[in-house]
Amino acid sequence: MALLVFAGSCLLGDWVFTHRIILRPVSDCGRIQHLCLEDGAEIPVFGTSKIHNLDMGLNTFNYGMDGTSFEATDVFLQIELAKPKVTPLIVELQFQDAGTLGDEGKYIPFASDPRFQQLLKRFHVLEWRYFVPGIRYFGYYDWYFKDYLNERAHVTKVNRGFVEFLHPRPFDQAKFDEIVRGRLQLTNGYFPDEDQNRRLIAHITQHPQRLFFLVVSPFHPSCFVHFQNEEKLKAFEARLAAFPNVVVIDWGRMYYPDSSFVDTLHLRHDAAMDFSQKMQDQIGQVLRERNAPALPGKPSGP
Amino acid sequence: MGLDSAIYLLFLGFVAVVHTWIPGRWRVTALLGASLIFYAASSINYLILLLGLCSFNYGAVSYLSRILDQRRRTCIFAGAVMANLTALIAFKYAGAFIGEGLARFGWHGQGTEVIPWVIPLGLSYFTLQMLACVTDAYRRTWKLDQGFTQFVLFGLFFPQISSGPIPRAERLLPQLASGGCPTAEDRLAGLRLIAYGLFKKYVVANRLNEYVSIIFTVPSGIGTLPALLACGFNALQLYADFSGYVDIAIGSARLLGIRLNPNFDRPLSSTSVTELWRRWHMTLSFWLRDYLYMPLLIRIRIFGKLGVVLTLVITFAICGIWHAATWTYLLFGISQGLAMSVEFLTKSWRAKRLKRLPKRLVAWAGNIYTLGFFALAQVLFRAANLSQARGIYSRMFHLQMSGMFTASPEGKPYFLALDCAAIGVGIGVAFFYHRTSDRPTSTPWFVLLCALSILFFGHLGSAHFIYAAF
Amino acid sequence: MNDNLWNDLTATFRDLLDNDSLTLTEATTAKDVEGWDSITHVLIIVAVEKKFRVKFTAGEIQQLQNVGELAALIRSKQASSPSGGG
Repeated sequence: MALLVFAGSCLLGDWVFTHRIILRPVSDCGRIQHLCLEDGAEIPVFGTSKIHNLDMGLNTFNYGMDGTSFEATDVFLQIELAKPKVTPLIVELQFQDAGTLGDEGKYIPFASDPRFQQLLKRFHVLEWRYFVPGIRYFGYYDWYFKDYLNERAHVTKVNRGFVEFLHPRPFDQAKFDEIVRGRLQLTNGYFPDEDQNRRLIAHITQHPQRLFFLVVSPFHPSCFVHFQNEEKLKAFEARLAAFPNVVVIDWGRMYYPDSSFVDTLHLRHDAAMDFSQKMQDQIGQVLRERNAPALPGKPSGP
Repeated sequence: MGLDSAIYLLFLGFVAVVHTWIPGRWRVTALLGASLIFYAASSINYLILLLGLCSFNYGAVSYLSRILDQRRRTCIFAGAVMANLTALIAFKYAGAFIGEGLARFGWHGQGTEVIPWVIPLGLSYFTLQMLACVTDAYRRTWKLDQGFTQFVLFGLFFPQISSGPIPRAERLLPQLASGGCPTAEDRLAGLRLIAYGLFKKYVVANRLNEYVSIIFTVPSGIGTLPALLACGFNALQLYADFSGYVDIAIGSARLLGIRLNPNFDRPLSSTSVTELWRRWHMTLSFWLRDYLYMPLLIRIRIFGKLGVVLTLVITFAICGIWHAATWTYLLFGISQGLAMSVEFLTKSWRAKRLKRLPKRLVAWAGNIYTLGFFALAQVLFRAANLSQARGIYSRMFHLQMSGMFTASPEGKPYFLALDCAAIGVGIGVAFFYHRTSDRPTSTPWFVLLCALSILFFGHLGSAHFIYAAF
Repeated sequence: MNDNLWNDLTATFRDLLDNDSLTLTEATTAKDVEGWDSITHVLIIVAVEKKFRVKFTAGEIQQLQNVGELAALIRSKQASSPSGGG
């Protein structure tokens, strides 16, 4: 009897969590589900947390996620490019791979998809229990729940995938200087994974009908101190730009003052909106030059 | 394989089923086989080492149990003690000593980089177990009546080899020699303990560890309140982690009809540090009392109270060092010895002064003092080095109220609230455990409660039990 | 003589454990007496050695199981001692 109650509770809890908490439109899991189901005219934005504050006046959906390796972006690209769409894509060009998946909890609901299975296996985080409804979320329930609480308590606002923190901490120059000192002790530069580059180029060449905007969002100037392999980066960007369906927008060195940064990699909200507007203008200009049809604007409503 | 892992639970289940169905005369062999497999999963080389040490100790104990010549007995005893301690020192402390020595010549690495080995699983506990065995045989308080197979099983018995409880031969060997004969009550009690232990590990210990780890790794950026919370959570985490492990170990043995010594007796209800050490890690503190404290104190009893103080400090300094050869553990041990010394020296004075106060108030104040002192001392137990410990202490004692939540508010501000909720669930489950411990029929429902709590509130957190590192 | 020994022994325990109403029997052990723990046990032995002018070996002390055995040990030490007690 106790065993039956246990099994029933597990399955009920799994169902409630999956549909009410985990696959909310605005969670990481919800965004992945959105990617799998969307088949319209949205312009996807792929990359790490560095790009996830890009919010333009276009019909974009931001899939940028914390600590996401290109391996995850590659899977997202496979899913997106399999759709019969012709809208452009925006992909963050990374100077070095994040090397992590971030929290693997965001992939658990999709563990039955072979592409996500391979991704989890690659990072040695694929567990047998991810295939068993009822116990697959063991150890992750609080992670999902905290995200849910964040949203309900209006700590974050999410719109078209773009995540905005509503109560950011005030800028503290002394603390920021300490962060900069930490950055200066790291090795900065362009350290590519050739296999990842090869796969990105394969996506570009295999889908000539899609226009790829490969973007680099602003870094703090400290990230360019003793920057290594600059020539190699320029050569690769030139190689990419040579493809007819690629536009490279490297704004990594675009200047913003210290007070515009959360840390040396991420912009604060106001600066991110400024950057987003500039990016929107640039994309619009590129499309005019290519005589491409104007892109649909923002959908009405949130 | 850790005692909290799925593979261990499968292994235990398989062993329990085999143990139930095989004829009684094969049970010792089955348990020995299981223990050898368990240890071999950690390291076959070290299994061979421990088998060698078991054989050596068996020879020594057999000799001590049989011969009468006191001089020869003393030589054998001294040799056995030296051999056991040499093995422990070589595997556990050599790296630290070499590192300290080389540091004086300007070398900045870790001692463990110089030596090519790591400490074998459970060697610290195994050594104490064998020393107790050999000493009891020498004192003639116990005589070896069992054969080599049973003795090896005693040394390597899988539920307790990794982190205790430290058994005494007098109590455990006869049980193991019979192969264990579990009753239905044993099985239910074992299941209950295992479920409770896993609950404490996954729901309480792992969850609190998340908060404590953040504070301990970046003490300079946090306020007084988070530092104090981390101090308290750290002590609670250690208790939940270690007692959780012990519950699984004792529960596993109970499933097989073997009763191990308890290691905890409601230590959080202690009203003095002296009383705490009679309730916390009992098998270790009783070992220290019987094989270190009492023999030393008897020999220096002529110094009276000074002798008591010296013996307490030395005993607990050794207790600290037994955990690991670092300054933090040494200071931890000395602090315990000093606290017990102060309690001893002020015992009569306190009895006279506090006689007029209500007993409940005195007990309550004593409990607060004991838990507070122990939590502060546990900072040394947790800190990676003296500098980190100093950082935590300075945060606690330099009043700074900013930084209530260490996670950035735009991140996950509610994890502290969920931690507290988990502690609340922990208290609820503990209450249910103690209320229903005499009703075996409630075991399936208690196990269900633990399983659901682990599933929905469990935190994967650190993969290993804290005490498995010693 | 035995009553004197027993009275003196009881007085020693009462004094050290600060308990004027303490009553000892031959079977009394540390578990039966509040405050008689491992820390005070050796101080009791030291006080007994001083009171009865005897000297115990470490082995003898460690093998004592109850107050009766302690009393018997004191008697045997006094009997074999040249100064003799009692």
